[in-house]
Amino acid sequence: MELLNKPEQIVFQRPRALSPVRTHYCPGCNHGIIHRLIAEVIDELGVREKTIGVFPVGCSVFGYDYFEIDATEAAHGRAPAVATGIKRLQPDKVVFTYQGDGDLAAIGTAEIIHAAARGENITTIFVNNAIYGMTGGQMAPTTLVGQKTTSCQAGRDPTKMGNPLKVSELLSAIDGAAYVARVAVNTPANVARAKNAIKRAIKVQQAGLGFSLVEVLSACPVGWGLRPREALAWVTEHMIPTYPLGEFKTKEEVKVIQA
Amino acid sequence: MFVTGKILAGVLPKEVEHKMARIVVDEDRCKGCEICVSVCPKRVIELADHFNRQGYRPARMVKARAVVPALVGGGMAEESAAAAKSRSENECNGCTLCARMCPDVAITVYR
Amino acid sequence: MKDRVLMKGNEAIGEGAIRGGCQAYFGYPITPQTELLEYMSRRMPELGRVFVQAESEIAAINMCFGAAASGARVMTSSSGPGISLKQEGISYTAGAQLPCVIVNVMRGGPGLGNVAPAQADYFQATKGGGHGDYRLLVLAPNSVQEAMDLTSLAFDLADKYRNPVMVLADGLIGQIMEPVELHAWKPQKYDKPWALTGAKDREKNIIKSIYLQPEKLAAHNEELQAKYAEMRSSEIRFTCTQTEDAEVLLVAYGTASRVCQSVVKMARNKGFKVGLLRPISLYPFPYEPINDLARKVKAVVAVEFSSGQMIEDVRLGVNGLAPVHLVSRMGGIALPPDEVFAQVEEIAALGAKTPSQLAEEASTWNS
Repeated sequence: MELLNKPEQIVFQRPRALSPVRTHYCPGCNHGIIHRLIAEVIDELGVREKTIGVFPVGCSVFGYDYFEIDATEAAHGRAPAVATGIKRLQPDKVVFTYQGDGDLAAIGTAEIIHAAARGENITTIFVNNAIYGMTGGQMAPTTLVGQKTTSCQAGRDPTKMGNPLKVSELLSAIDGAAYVARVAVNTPANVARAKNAIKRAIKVQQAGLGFSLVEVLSACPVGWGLRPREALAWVTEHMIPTYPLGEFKTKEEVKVIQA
Repeated sequence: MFVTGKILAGVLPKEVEHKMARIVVDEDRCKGCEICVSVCPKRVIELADHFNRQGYRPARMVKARAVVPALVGGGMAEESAAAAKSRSENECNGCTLCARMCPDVAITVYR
Repeated sequence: MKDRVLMKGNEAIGEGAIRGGCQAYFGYPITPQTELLEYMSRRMPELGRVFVQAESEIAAINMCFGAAASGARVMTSSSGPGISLKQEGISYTAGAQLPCVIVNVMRGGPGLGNVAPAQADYFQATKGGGHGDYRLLVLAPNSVQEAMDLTSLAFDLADKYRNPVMVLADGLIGQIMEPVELHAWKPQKYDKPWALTGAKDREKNIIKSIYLQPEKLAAHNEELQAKYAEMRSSEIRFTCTQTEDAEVLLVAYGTASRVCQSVVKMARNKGFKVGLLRPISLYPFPYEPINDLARKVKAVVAVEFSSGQMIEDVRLGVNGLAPVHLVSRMGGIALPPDEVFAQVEEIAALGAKTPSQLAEEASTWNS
């Protein structure tokens, strides 16, 4: 009788920087995955005790309850300005903003552009789910053409409502932006790449190389009216063609920094 | 726990645990979103029949199948082969894909 | 011998901030306070402190929010339209109980208005401006010296109460140059265990103003109100000029009070017993001192360069004990003393009227 007795090991568990509490997010919401990746990166880089998070107005308004770090709220769209205030006073800290598409791509366009323009050494995690989740599913600047939302019920009409805003491409044009990447978390492979991008961005900040942003395509099952599994597929079929994944800006000095 | 054993002809235990790995789902955190169910390559995750405190049906590993010995000679060999085959198809191998996709970080993986 | 320097009001405010321990300034140009931004852009880096010219007044107040959350002494400044932009940020700052100094160098309004000195932001400063049940502690200097000193004081008060404090000046005070004494100033130290400095060896700190459960928000608001009650009992500041025997009481702040100082002299020379109560703290407002004086005078005159905003607080203080009149001018025009005096003279002459006539006039709400 062959007997292989190996003690059981934990090969996956909740990261230390993620609080052991239930989240208020909808079933299947990708915020949970993204939060976890950030927490894993914080743990792996050993920066939990010097990380300060800035959370937006949106579904993730209570994000600070889910991380074991110092954190603050910010008025809608103004997280990059709040983060600037924190980072300028405490340059040794790791400062990140976590923003949705209303927060960053609508009301907060000035703040994100100018934080990038000034080359602020902060990292922005931009969660793009093509909709306004918290307020019940209205059109966002990132809503796709033809996509139906509660405030464009016949589908987004570009002649009246414009075309979706491509934030990563837009910010890449700014000199102060050192690292800009777009990722998704709809498949395990994409989740792994997303984590690498986030890690790289934080390392860019630590090296003082300028502004970094990771745009994460994210499923919103309730907003889109899809089951979570279908919502992940929708990211593949509809979002990625409009918002291609990749690294849009990697300054020369950033190239040596690997995740 | 990692146990292999040769099955001696004529002697079949009621249940054989062939587990290389397993997951534990924190029922209170799970929201029954079924992403883990869809992503598991071994199809060993399903939603439970009961509801957790939030009113969701939490995910869990499928129960290991009980192996019932045939009482009539000849049928046992076929059943045991079929049963063994289906058992090996339904084994968690600790790939952690479920845990990595779980938005609620409800899954701990042991190997 | 103390140092005396000729300074522009806006620069004195900047120097007052620096002496008050300001560690970070976030601003944006707007007339008539731009010299303050420019002064800070030079002085703050000289001292190794933080200066950022933000992309807007909105960004500036939110940078203040972040810096204040870090435990720093911070300041921003603007005028009318820019202060309006900051209102959401100010409400957040008050709700999150963060200290912050906001300087408003008032100009003509509403809308784009003009760049001349006015006092029409009184309501905005003292009654809210932003949403929700919060108050700003408001200090109104009337000289370049006071602009400097009150700004230094503002930082202490902001830390003491964990609340935004407004220094309310106007374009005249911002622009004039006067000799300023650089006397010693030692900022008070306040511990900030709530600040976001990294969750090292302690529980994490969260800065927020949201309390979804109504009972929790109610309790939070009661905490805020308790602070304002303490301000009302401890932070009332005002001066009196020749009020002991006054028959007509002028009430004015800022530039209007400078005009009224001259009016008091002119009146006394002509035999009219006129006195001036000058509020320095506009919130908390000196209701009681005005009430005390209202018992003794025949008329109270609010003098302000607006449609009449402070007069409502004056009326609350007077509480019907005397008729309250308004001398005012809008459009950013600072009335010269002789024009104010002419109107005050008329009002003083009313002192000959019978109490019932006065009462009738007091009930005419046409100001």
